[in-house]
This record gives sequence, structure tokens and C-alpha cells, in this order.
Amino acid sequence: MFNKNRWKFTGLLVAPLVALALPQAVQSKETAPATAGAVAAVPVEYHTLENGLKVVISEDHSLPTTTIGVYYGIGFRLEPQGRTGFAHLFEHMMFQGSKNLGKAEFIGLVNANGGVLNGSTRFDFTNYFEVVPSNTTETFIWAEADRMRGLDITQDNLSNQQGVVKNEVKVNVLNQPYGGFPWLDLPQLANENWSNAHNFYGDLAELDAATLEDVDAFFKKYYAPNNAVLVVAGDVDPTQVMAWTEKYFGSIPHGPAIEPEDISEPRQTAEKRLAKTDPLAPQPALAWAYHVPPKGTPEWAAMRLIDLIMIDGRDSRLTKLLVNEKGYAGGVQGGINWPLGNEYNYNGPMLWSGFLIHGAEHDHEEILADLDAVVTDLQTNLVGEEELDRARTKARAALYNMLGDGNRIGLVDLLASFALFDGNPGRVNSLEQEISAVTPELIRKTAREYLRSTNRSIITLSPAPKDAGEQGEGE
Amino acid sequence: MKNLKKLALCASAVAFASLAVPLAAQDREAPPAPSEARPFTLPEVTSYELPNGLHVTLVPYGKTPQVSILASVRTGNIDDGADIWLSDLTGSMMQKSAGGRTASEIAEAAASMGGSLSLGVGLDSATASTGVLGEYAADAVKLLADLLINPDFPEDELEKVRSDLARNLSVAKSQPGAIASEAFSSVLYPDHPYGHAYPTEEQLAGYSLDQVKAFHAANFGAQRTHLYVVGRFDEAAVRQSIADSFGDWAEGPAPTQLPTAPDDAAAVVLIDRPGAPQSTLRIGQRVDIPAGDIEMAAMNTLLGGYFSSRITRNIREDKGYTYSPGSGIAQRVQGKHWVQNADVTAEATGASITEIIKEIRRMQAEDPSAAEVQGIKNYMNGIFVISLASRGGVAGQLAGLDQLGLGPQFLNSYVTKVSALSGEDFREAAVNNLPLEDMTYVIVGPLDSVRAQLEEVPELSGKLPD
Repeated sequence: MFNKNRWKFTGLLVAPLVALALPQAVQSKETAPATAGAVAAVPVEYHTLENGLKVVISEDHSLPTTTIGVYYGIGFRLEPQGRTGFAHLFEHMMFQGSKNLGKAEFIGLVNANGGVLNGSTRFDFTNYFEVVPSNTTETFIWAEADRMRGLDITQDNLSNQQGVVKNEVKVNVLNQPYGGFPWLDLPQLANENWSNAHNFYGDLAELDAATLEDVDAFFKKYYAPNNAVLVVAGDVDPTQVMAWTEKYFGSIPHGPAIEPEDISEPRQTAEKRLAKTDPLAPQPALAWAYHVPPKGTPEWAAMRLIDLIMIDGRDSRLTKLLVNEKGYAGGVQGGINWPLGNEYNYNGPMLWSGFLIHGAEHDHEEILADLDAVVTDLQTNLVGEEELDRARTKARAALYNMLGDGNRIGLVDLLASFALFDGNPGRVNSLEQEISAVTPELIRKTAREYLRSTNRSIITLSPAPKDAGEQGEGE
Repeated sequence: MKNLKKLALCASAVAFASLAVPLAAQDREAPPAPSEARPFTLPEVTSYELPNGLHVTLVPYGKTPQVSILASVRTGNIDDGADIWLSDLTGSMMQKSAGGRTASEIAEAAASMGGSLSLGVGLDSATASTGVLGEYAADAVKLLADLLINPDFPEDELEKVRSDLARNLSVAKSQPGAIASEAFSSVLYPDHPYGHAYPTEEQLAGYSLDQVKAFHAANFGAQRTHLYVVGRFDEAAVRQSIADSFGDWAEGPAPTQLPTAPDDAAAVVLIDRPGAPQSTLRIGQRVDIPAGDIEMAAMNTLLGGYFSSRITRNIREDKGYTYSPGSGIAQRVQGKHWVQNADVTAEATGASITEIIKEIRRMQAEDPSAAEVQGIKNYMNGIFVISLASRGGVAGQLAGLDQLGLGPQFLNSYVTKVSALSGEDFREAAVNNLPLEDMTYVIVGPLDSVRAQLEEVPELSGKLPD
């Protein structure tokens, strides 16, 4: 899966309804909560095998299932030039056959044992995960090890998946109004470094150009145990899990050391603008993005609070002004690493972005003036205690929603990200402290530097004139 | 409160049977076999009614101190009559102000409790929901009750809400999936609210505040409402809050009954999308099955309902025609249908339809293999556990079951029924429910290149519209 809105494999949101044959999804859209200290610490065991594989185990017997995730430290930022979209195409290859599991057999094994699975490609990792009955934990540790050990891909399988991925781009981008807007467009405008500024879904011709040699080289370079983390969370005995992990992963050889590449971005010093015409779109739209502070800094934690205050939730300042008061749009969406991830699961330069689809009766500049007013207020006045408390509560709520979900996909994602990027999966238990340390003064200071108009990029989207009947532009 | 019933849904052990996966090559290593299955215990469900007919279900659940509160009201587009989306307009207006609080104030109150409050209007029900810290459960019940019972309907919000819906309408009508689904529904449910997906712009522009108020007054009431509270909360305090907040609500009408029987209206609908790189397909028909029919659900899963399904393996993993195909059974209160969705590369439109038809015929002609049947059983039972692994999942599943009249006891017998499936059940479900002569086909794509392909598909060639 690449875009959040579509599923590649039988996703959790889709499968239960289809399989249980129940009516419409009556899913509550909630961001739930909790008070500090109300939730017991998440158990975290952390090991590293001799071949460099990181292993995180989190024991939880609330349901008889296990969630297994393997995250490789290769995202679309680092795909080769001339091969846009390759990291994602490669993700599909991981389901096309390994030594002991032929094409479609990995998926078949998960499904036939009563599990669901998915994979996704993001800025700094590619992940593969399955939720399975806990009595099949060994089966899937074996299966994940099998495909880390080596792939067995034919030209037919590659060609097949090139067709699938091109259809993925068509259904999510080329044949949709607002296709790729703004999530593919903003990084291309805001960033300077090719790694951050190319089309991550891929040019169709470059997807077609991929060869089996490319697949082989990419696998050898990036899919080694020393560039990966295995997370096993759920109804398991950690000692047993370590024994299985040693048994199946232990003999996979350490790969060559991976030289770090320069993915840095220069400090932006002038506002960037792009006017996009979307012949398929019936209404204008507006999107913006600001570069966020570097990870691990106090300003970064303040930026997460700015995100919560400004755009995350129906009580956010932008919702209250742009939606409730001015009525420009039915909603405004955005966030850090939005919509492909969250504030935790990336490792490099990142954007805080937002967007809305609005009526043609409102000019883009009129809306931007209101955005500016909200930003200026945050740069001028200190956030009040009540609003700050609410933002902290929302942050805890979002965290507890991830940690409390019985399918544990959010938990596995946090553990994997913190192991891969920070070497510290236990950080999952200190996130509340990181948030609570932020002061109103730090929020204002951060807003002054990072919500500068010269640190932002703006895309205005306009529908084509009424008489233009041509199909949408390519991405 | 009357009719206190306590329903314990426990000790239903889900056995995850092992499955030997056949391996083609002799030198391959077999996957380690599963160990003994672990038991899964369903949450305990307590249900009761208030004197005014409001249904309540309480479910202690979960390990974090959070609670999900969901109110399902049996109204929605089913009550629109000729005024398509009047229910949607009403639902949006209810959220703009209630109990003297503006939308922003409601949002702040909910966020202070660690959640948000929203209301969505569907075909058969309007669902208000929130998720908050468990200690605020009683307060959140009150907030939610105000939204349903005491909307303020401020005049000055009407035009904003109308503009929002008009934008949503125009965006939907620019999306190939929405265009295809609208056409498909109109064939399957003629002269029924299920078949009227979208209003005209003029219609939407004409609704008055009085109509909105009247819709709310006529359709929202205690008797149509079922409240679910799932999570960790103080039961006594929540019961008291429910009695205080909802106890005086008028009984209101019983849910609308507007049954629509399948009438075998088959059609081929072509909608031109010039230059589109894909064709968007809706292939399906009405099905006359009881709610919660396990045989049809199992057959659908194998045919197109999960990633390892036959249609997905065929048109995606073998042919590469598409990315996200999928089939499903839409079980609505007044009628049901089966549909296969796919967005296929335009050049393969005819070939994709041919393969889908081929898979339906195969399902009707022969029983699936024992391994396929066992795999589906395991999958359905596994998904059963996964779908009940969150507060929202539990609340949503229970609301869906109650709406269909199945009730939570459906969960008790589910695994037993699934485990009893035979290969013949799959074949019979396909024969009985998916006769090809009754199939409707909707194709939204570039007709200048697609029409010629469709003329080559025997099942469609004589039925193509001009």
C-alpha cells in the first residue's frame, strides 16, 4: 500500500466487513485519550542478532493473535535516480516468491491461517506485516526469514507487478480528481534534494524500465538483516520467539555496510508557489507545507504541539477559523508526515502540511490571509494553559489509541521506527514526557522560526476551464 | 428500565485449524506447523431498554482506560423520500450547534475529554460517536445526547452547510468510482432511496431550514436509537447519565420499513470518461438471502472478497490488469446485493470482464477444493477475532448486527456455522445467488476504445446501449 486511501492487500479496514458480511462500516471516528500514568508501560524486549538484525518483542496476551512486522531501512527517498517509484515496486516483489514460498504463496499462507497482511513504502522504510493467530507465530517468523534470505523472481512476475503498480498509479492519481494532490506534489515543490523532491509513486516509463538486475541489486544492497528490524508483538513467549528468530534468521549473512547518503535539505529562505491545473477537479483547492525542525530537538516536540493546536482535530485553530467560522470548506486536513505516516515514523527532513478543497467563491489569497493571521497569532502570543492542556490530552489520546488497539499495528510501527531510527524501541514509553516538556515560550519560538512564510510552499489547484475536456496531467 | 437482559457471550473458543500448504517443488522446506489453537473469549454484553424505547448495550472491554460511545439512530437516506440528501443536510446542521454550544465549543469539550464527536448519515442509520478517556464516559454521554436530542439549527449556518454539501456533491460526481456506484445502485434499486445516491444541485439548493427541523423532529427519537458503550468505564455512573440524558426523549416513530425485493432487472450501463486510463467496473446483482448468510459470505470471500480470492489472483496477480479489485455483499436493512468492483487498465476492459465471468461460472460449476474450503474457514474465523480487537470494532459490529435484526447472539454461533461449511455450500450459493442472466454491468471508461472490446464479450454484446 502506498496511498492511505487504497488497499493493496486485503487490508484490515476492508477485510472484516467483507468476510463477516455485515452492513455498512459503522466505524466510530474517534481520537480517544487517557491521563498520564493511567496506562501500564508497554513491555519491550530488544535484542540484536550477530548478523545485525534488530529484534523487538512485546508480550501481550489480551487476544490470541500475534502481529509480526519486518521493517527494512529503505524508503522511497533513497531509490535510484532514473528509477522513480522503484522502492515501492520492489515492495511488490517481496510477495512474488522466495526459496520456499512461490508467487502468491506467502499471502496464501497468511490468509489460509486466518490472518491479514499488508506492506507499505514510506520515506525511510518499507514494511511488511501480518496479524495472525498466535499459534502460527513460528510459521510466520519462518516465512519472513525465508524472504529475507533471498527472492526468486521471474521476468513474468516482474512484468505482472509493473502492470499492477501502473494500475495503482492510475487509480490513485491519474484517473482521480485531486490525484496526488497534495501528498505527491508538496514534497516535489518544497524540497531541493532529489531524494526528497522526486515523484515517489514513479513515472510510468521509469517503472517500465525496471529490470530483474535492478531488483537483484536493490535486494542485495538494502534487504539485509543489518538493515532491518523484526517486531513480534502479541500472544507470545519472548524466550520462545528469540529461539525461533535465531533458528530462522540467525544464519542469514550480514550484508555490506550501507553508506549513509545525503538527504539533507537547506534552510528555505523564500516562499515557493505553484499553480496547478487539475482538469478532473470540480472545485479549487489549496495546500501548504512548512519544513519542520530536525528530529530529536526540543523544537521538534514543540512542532508536534503546534500541529495539534493548529490542525489536528475538530477543535484545532484552523478548523475553527477556516471551516466553522469562515465556511471555506467542510474540513481541513494535514499534519507532520501527512498523509503517509505520523510524526514518529520517518528519519530525515519532513514537512508539516495542510490542505482544503474550497468553493470557487473564495479566492486563494483570502484563505491564505486567514492562515497567516492564525500563524501570526501563534508567533506573537503565548498559547494559553487550557489550549495547551487540550493539545497534550489529544497527543496522549492518539498515543493510547495506537498502543491500545488489539491488532497492534500502530504499536509495531512505533517499536520498529524507534528501533530502526533511534536504536531505542523503549522510547515508546517516554513519549508522554517528550510532549509534556514543551512550554508556551518554546511553541512561540518554534512558530517564529518554522512557520516563517519564507519556510513554506504553497500550491493552488484550479479546475480546468469549463470547455477543456482533456484528461488529467500525468504525475 | 424494562426488559433487562444480560447476554453473556463467552467461552466461544475459536479454533484455528492448521492447514498444510501444498508445495510444488520437492526440495522445498515446509512451513513450521501451527501449535495448538488458543481460546478466544467474546466480550460480555449487557443490554437493556429505557421506558421510552431507547436501547442500550454496555460492554466492558480493553486494557486502556478509554471508552467508545456510539449511538445508532435508525434514520438516514431511507427517510429522505423525494428529498435526496435532506437527511445528510440535517445531520450536518445538527453538528453545527447543539445544546447551546457551537461546533467549535462541542469540539473543544470533546477534545478536553480526549476525543471528538461526530455524526455520519448513512442509508439506514445515522451514527453519532465519540471516544474519550473512560473517566469522562458519563459526560460524553451527555454531550452525545445533546447532539441527537437538542440541536439548535441556527439559521446562519445553513448556507455554509449547504455549500459544503454542494462541494461534496460536485467532487463525488467527478470521481469514477462514485459515478459508477451511483449508476449501479440506480439499476438495482429503482424507485427506492438506495437507488438515489445524489440529489441535483437545484434540489440541494432548495431545502429550507424548516425542512431540516421537520426532518429531525420526525425521524430522530428514542425508539429508533441504540446506544453502545464499549471500554473501561464506571457502569453505575454511565447508566445514570444515560437515564438523565436520554430518559425524557420522546419515543418517536418505529424505524421505517421500505422493503425492496430483487426484480432481476439486469442492465449494461456505459458511461463515457474520455481519455481515462482505466475503466471503473461494477458487476453484480441483487441477492435474496437472509441477513448474515454464512454460505454466501464464504462464497463471496473465495470468489473476490479477499486478497487470495480467485478473481484477485486472476486479474491482478496473473494478468496485472488492476490494482485493487474486490467483491462484497452489501447487506442493507431493506435489500441486499453482491458486487465486484475493479478499476482496470482501459485496454483490458473486455478481458477483465471475461475473466470475472469465467470465475463466477467456475464457482457455479464445481465445488472448491478441500484446501480452499479449509482456508476460507480459517480466514473467516481469524478475521472474526481481528474485527473484534478494538472498542470501535466491537461497537460497530454490534450496531451492524442489531440493525440487521441479528443481534449479538450472531457472534455466538458464527464460528460454529463457519466451521460447518462444505464445498457444496459455495457452489450452491453461487448458483442460487449469482445467475449470470441477471447480472448488471456498469462500465465508466473511455468508450471510444472500450466499446469495441465489450462487443467481443458474449454476455454483453447483445445488451450494449447505443
